[in-house]
Amino acid sequence: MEEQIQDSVDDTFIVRFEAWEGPIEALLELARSQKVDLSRIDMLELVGQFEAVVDRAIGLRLELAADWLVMATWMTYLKSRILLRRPKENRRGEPDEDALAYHLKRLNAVRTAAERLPERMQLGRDWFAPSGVHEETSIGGRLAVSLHDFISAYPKGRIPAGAANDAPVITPFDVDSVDAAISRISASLPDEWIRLLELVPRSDGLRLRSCIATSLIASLELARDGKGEVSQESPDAPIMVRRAVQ
Amino acid sequence: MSSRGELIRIVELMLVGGGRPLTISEIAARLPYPADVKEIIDELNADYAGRSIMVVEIQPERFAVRTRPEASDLCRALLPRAARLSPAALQTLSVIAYFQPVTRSEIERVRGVALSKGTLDILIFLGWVRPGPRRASPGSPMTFVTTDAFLHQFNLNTLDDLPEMDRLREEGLLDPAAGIDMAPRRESDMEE
Repeated sequence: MEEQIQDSVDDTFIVRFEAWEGPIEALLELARSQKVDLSRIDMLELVGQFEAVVDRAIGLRLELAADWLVMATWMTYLKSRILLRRPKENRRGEPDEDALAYHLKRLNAVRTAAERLPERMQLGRDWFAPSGVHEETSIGGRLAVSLHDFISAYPKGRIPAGAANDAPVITPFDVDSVDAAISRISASLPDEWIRLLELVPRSDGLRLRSCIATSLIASLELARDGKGEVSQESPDAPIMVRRAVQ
Repeated sequence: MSSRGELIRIVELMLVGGGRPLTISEIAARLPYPADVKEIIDELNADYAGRSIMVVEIQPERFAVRTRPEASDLCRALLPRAARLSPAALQTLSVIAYFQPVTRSEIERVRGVALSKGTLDILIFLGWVRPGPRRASPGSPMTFVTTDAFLHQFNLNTLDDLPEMDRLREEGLLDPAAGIDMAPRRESDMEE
């Protein structure tokens, strides 16, 4: 008994406003009779309830949470349209409160129908056609395909088999980090002048180029901090580095 | 051999062996001489009383053989179980059923949520929904309509048999263009 009460609480999302309080189904009823007063619904409260529902919904029945969110989104949207009414829309006759009621009413009708449709006697579930299968697939001797099969067969014919496996493989960038270069250079910096390139670790391709770049940045960082010296005699001369003379 | 019995046998053969629902004119065209098809079917059904199958008018002037629901347990055990539709797919299906022909963005407007790509595909794959004529509006978007297979599946004679169809029509709820768009516009809408 205790559990049942708990279940029923969880199954219904209660919406609370100054103007109104109750489960979402009742809101639908009110919207049907056009008794929802949008102008009295507090946006802050609505957003707060939004958050609470999203938090709770993780462990609950998602379809209920989804319904609630659709309704609440509608109210937020229409309310904000009332608050931020453009001058142009003022002239248009249709008030937004009616639009909410209309939308909710229509959505409710569709939801009710969607719930009642599977309750009808269904072919292949409650009763069966000759040979037990769906007529459309059992027309004797004929190739029975639907429009869907027909259209989806086209790309299958166009794209050669195995093409899907030829998707480009993107390897992650393997590059050196400046921090790593700073610790590497500062550890290996000799007291005599040495070419910077000799301090670059052996590697190839993109990794090598990134190592050269980070080594240069690292040597400049060390020079700025007064731990190293960098010199280059002419634009195309090799860059020389050494430990700073204390 | 009574000629009446021959007519009944021919109609029975067509309905059971035909493998699909037949219209009265289709049946009448294959009878050796003109006869009231509905009367013959009534006699056939009288024969079937207490048996496991029956002839049903599944659409106006259109007949098909069906197993009796109370005798269908064996069929159910022999056949693969039909997959159940998700609530979203069912709602989309009923929007299409009520508002057809309806475009994708109109479905989204009625439901207030964006339509995920697979939902329509499933309904089309099941053969319950098919593309209809293009709408004569900017971008000439594709419309969607339900098929006869949809009517057969849910035991609907016509679309008017949909739950509360009359009430919705009276209250003017069946205009997909009414109301405000809320679902986000996507690139794919433009292509359609």
